[in-house]
Amino acid sequence: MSYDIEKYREKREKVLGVRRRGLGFGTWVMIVSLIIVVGGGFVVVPKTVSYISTLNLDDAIYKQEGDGIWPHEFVSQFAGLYGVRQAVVDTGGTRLVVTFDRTKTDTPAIATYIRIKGFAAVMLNQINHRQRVATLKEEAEL
Amino acid sequence: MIIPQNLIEIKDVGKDYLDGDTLVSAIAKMDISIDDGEFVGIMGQSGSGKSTLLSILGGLNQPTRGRVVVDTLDIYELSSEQRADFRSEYIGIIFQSFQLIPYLTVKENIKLPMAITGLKAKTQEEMALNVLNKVGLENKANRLPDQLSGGEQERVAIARAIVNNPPILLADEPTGNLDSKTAGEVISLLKQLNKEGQTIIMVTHNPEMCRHSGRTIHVKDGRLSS
Repeated sequence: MSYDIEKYREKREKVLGVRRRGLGFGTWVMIVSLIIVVGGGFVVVPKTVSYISTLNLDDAIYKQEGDGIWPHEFVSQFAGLYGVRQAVVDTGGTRLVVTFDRTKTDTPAIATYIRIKGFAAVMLNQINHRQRVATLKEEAEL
Repeated sequence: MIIPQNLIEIKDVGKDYLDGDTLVSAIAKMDISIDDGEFVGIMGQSGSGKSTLLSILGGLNQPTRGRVVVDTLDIYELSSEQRADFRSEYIGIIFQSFQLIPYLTVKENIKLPMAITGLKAKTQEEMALNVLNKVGLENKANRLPDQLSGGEQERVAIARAIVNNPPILLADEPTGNLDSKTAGEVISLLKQLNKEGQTIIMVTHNPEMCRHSGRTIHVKDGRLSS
């Protein structure tokens, strides 16, 4: 029998690494690491983004003198105010909660705006936004 | 790439050892070509360098000089990982002392070389049974080596050597520990494998055994003597 170079091509390619015999240990380590990092990323990244985006937010809670109901048009106008993220009223409509970025605006500026719009209001509380959201969540669970 | 004429080409190979301060030349200089499907006997006295030559051929012993080319692969130019793959893909080795693991069954011993191939367990099982059938030991698959005769143990060693379908079978004194009748059976098995296309290189000091090979290379004092 004479030597035929094609006869053992598959074996030769395995030895030379042209033809791989499944995934190597290094590749497996890389895949598993990637899964852990990406999986962890899915958990950590949204929390981090949420944390950073609410880092400087405070909530100021107002009521009108005489416990009047806040008009819907007035509440919706708050969205255009510099530094204000949102304004909502509670279910009874008597409490106005203004979420604002304390690095851009402050409660005196918000109080001035309310006064200019013709409302006599009292600030009941100023609280960290995340803390208030957490409190609402706990109350909802109860 | 220059396409070689033979499956195995040994060119200007030499091997020196340091024995204390003395340089001992186990192989002075050898040039051998072996074609695919040959049955070659390497004959020589103890210390002639024939076993050293076999280990060099098997990729187990780096020569001091020269090249060993198998299927265009210059095996001592390969990385150690590639050379391990080369041994797994190309070489089956039968030792004089069988080298079977005593606490593993016959089938488990045969499966050992397949452990690093990444083959599925079912495929390994099939290949092991197939090769056991080939050497006539299919009914002793679950026995331990010490429950077998010397000839049967040698056949298990042969089965283990050929289970990965290596093109080259290296046999180091395969009948050295066997009586003449059993030795004859083992030689018959080797001849049968050779007839099926297996390239066999058998080292022996017994001229009677070399009578069965297609070609005999005589080695004396680390050189080819004829």
